[in-house]
Amino acid sequence: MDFENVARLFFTLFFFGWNVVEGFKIDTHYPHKLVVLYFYPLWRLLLLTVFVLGSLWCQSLSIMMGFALFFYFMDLQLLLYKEI
Amino acid sequence: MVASIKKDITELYNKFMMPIHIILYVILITSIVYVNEIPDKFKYYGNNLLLRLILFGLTLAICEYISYMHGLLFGMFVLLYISFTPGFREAFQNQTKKTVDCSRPWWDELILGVCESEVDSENVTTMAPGT
Repeated sequence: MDFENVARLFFTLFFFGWNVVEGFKIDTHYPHKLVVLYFYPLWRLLLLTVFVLGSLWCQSLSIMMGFALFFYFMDLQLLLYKEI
Repeated sequence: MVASIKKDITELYNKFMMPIHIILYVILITSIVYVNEIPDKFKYYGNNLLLRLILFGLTLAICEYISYMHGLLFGMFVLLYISFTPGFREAFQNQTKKTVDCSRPWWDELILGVCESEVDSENVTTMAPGT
């Protein structure tokens, strides 16, 4: 098994674990820095750029990253802006 | 004639495939980053079943005809757009609330010692039990 496959597996499992532990919980306690950084569009742009690059690299990783990013965006968006 | 046009379009698409894909990436990523800036009057359309059908269908079409990555990004945009659709407004959040004074309190207000300052509606429909 070469280094690239190990790296793919590592990152995919990392986001898989992240989704299992943190995904779609209303009371997800994101780290403080992640909450503060969400206000900056550049941060979101950076995350999505990494997402695109990661997705071009590995499809399984793209699915897991997509879930993680969607949950992160949605949770913070609902927390900060949504009008009931 | 139709086959010729189709061939021309396919050739044109293949020629400019890379720039088109990059432009689509930019448009989709910008849409996701600024999805919270969509005005409320457009966000309300997220409740529309037909629009949801079109958006999800479009996601599948993009996956099929453009690329898997674009479909994934568009799908993320659609889900975020729908999840940010404002919910139905609850009581005391609409514009019909009326200001009242406590000069003629109801019996339960008198007993409980409360004084309401605003009501959502002046008309109440009641019904006897068992009817």
